[in-house]
Amino acid sequence: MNIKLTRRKFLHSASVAAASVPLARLARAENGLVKKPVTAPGSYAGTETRYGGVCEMCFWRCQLVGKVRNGRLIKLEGNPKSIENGKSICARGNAGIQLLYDPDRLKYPLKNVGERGAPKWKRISWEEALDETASRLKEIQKKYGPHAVALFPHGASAFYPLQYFEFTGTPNISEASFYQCRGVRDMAYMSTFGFAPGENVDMANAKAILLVGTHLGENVHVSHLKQYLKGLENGAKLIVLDPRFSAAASKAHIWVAIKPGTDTAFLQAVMKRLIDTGKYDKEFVAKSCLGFEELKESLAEATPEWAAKTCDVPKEQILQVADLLGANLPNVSIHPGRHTTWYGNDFQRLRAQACLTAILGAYGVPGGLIQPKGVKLGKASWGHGVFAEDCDLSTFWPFHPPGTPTEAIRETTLTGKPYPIKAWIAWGQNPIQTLPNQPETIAALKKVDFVMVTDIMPMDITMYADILLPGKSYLERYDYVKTGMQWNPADKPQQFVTARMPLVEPMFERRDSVWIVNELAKRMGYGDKIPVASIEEHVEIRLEPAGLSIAKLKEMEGIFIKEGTSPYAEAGQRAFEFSTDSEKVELYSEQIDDNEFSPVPTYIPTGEVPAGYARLVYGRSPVHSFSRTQNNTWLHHEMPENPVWLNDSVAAKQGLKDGDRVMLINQDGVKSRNSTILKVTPGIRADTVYLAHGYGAMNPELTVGKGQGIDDQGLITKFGIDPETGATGMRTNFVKVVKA
Amino acid sequence: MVETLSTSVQSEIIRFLARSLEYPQSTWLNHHYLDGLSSLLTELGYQNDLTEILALPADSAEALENLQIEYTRLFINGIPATVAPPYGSIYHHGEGMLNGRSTEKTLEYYHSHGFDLADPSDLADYLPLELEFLALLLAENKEAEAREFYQEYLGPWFGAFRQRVREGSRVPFYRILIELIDFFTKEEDEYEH
Ligand code: SF4
Repeated sequence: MNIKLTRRKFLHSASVAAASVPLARLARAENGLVKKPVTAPGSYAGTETRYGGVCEMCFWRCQLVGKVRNGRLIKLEGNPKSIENGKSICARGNAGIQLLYDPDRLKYPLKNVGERGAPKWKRISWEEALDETASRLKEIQKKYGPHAVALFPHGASAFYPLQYFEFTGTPNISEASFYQCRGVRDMAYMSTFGFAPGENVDMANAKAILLVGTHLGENVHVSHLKQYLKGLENGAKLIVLDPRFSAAASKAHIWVAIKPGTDTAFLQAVMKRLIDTGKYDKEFVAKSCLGFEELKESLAEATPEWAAKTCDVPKEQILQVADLLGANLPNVSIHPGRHTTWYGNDFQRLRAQACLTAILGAYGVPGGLIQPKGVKLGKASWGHGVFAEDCDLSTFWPFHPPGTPTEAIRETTLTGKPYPIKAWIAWGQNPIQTLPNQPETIAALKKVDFVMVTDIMPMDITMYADILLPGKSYLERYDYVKTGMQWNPADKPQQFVTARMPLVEPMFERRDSVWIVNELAKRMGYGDKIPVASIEEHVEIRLEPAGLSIAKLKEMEGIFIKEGTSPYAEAGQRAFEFSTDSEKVELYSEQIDDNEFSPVPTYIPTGEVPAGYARLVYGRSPVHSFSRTQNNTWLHHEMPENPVWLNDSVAAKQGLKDGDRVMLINQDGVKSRNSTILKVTPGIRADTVYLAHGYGAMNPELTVGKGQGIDDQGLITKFGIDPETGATGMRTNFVKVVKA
Repeated sequence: MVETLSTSVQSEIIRFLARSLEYPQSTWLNHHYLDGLSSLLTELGYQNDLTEILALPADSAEALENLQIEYTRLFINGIPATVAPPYGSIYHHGEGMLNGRSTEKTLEYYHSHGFDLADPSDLADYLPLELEFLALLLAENKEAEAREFYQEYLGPWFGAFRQRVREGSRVPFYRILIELIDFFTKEEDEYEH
């Protein structure tokens, strides 16, 4: 367009003056700007400190304060009142601002008028989005039953949708945090100790710490690292089992460069050595454990020679580890781990970790496994759903964590057997990167009649949505109420309660999940069953039994603190009651036996590495929370790609050099979508290749993270399903490193 | 007198253009609106055929929807990337984020001229708001301030934004609007009087 006139001339022409009158009427009637008293230029607004933030850049939920000026969040800091993280937050915590103001974030409800996987977005009103979602879901429920709707939730904002959909009658709900992460750990410890362990080992006061694959330091959670570093500072001996010279291994007194997949054998040999040398907590075992003789018997073959060969480590190291643990019992931390779904035989390994903890008597003592006590909170929920007979796919896995194994949902969706699943809903979860065998996930997403996704950011999963809803981030909403104790269990016992409160107003049309679910419920015929009118009401109900309210918490700078109880038992107490069937720690479990699994921890080998390949092992980056943070400019800047670790002798043989651009090809010939940088190091076994998970997004809407680094999940085409729990074992693939 | 009249005309036109950059809805994108736009373009001596731009959205739901899809792609969430988010801090000094330092400075500028956001969660550097502010200044005949605001706030990022819309828009509607905004806001030698 080429305007020949000057504006001056144009504006002076009388006809325009006349014509512009109708234009005035066509402008917006409401004003975006309103009059206010003049603020003298140069008089800057003060910075206000807002309390009540709870971080969710990862699941650890450190307490925050926000520095806000002119309504704009300019800095996040740890809440000085916090008895967990204190003033400290990690890199990701700091970078929450970048998430809040990321221009790629979802802003309005969107409808996909293109195809799933190749979307074309159209902004629609909430009214339209909710009407359409509700009518599609209702139609599917009516035609195929409520269990034809599957939900993949994640995070604090998804608790309410999870309850709601379960209430409407679908058991097909699968959380990655259980089925592709910690569920197997929780179930193994439940079967042994009767409670889920969290990461509650008292490393700060331990004399020895054993990490099985856990890579603290690369795995960053503020108060947890404080505990770990305090322990090391106090002289704890650190033992690390890891095929890689991880950040933790670099601080270890004993680094066991174990062959991946053999940890259970190692743990068995350690237990045998402890029992053979009498270095176990005899009193705790006698008074608080069941099945010691069966355990002992089961270990008859677990000799150091056998384990040394199986695990490809020196025999002496096994003895050394056992003796070190035995010498420091009961004040040892056997870390339960977090992401534990490795090979599809993981229940047994975690049972072994739990049993080792027990025979060392490392429970309720400084350094041991503890059960922190928080303040009692209130509840408001949708109530339990009633499932149609035979629609629960999870019963096949007797020790499954809450919900249904993800693989069962995906397979049922694809085969239509035993019944059709016709709608997928993802709420803060990114199943494309949490589930192995991506082509199957994509096929399932394409097969169903309806896909709805609620998220903060575009993700690989959002590309498959029919309706895409924008959520409020953790900095803009109420939701999570947290209670716990001081970070160092040996300090004066205290308890705290905090609630997530918004630090800034939400922008655009982002909504919280209670609002979204309630609006859907009204449209789906459950309006009269809505348990809370708003997320604020939910928080108030949670706080009420503690004598608290949102207003009171605000007055308390976001955190309520009171005197607590020590997580340690009285000195000398060795008899405890646990919530297992027998009320003892079950080294041998009848319940497991009844379900025809090995009742004592048993080593089940995983597939061997084929010649010319190495096992693909993945882990965390200290500056990312997997795919959730891949588009964060600040964090991306810290670690834009995920280097592939390759053993130096293997690299030399292949003619590869440190810094080369490389790609990975797996045993099925699947090649990584992108390339990344090669890290050549003696600090990894020759049969193992390592990289951080959460890179290499497909969605081009992630303008920072797209195609950066390699997505390990794209290479995980083979996986194991843990027979006891249904969890997905994902370290079962083998790759070759090739030049890009 | 003539000067006053011309600034008030300019103000009205800018307000009209500010509305044009909002999400297309049948509530305002109707025959009246299109007639207004058409007369403006005619007065400016726009030579091309206007039917392609003007006729459709008011009459056909499909055409309106296509414009909405295009708006979403250009300004909200687009594949492969949003072409031109209409917020200053995306472009200013490479800030690349929403609600950046420059957004805050824009808000402070409003404050220092006796204005505030009607909705505090709005972003001060949203293009239609900056246009509205400019129109308000002109309506009050504050030409010097209008010039300052353009030079220090709108002008520094509008060029980059305009470039992206020019290259990225698949429909003439937004390309033409951007040129109109440029024409009615940019500095002209008249300011030098
Ligand atoms: S560890 Fe870091 S990311 Fe996780 S909650 Fe704490 S500050 Fe946030």
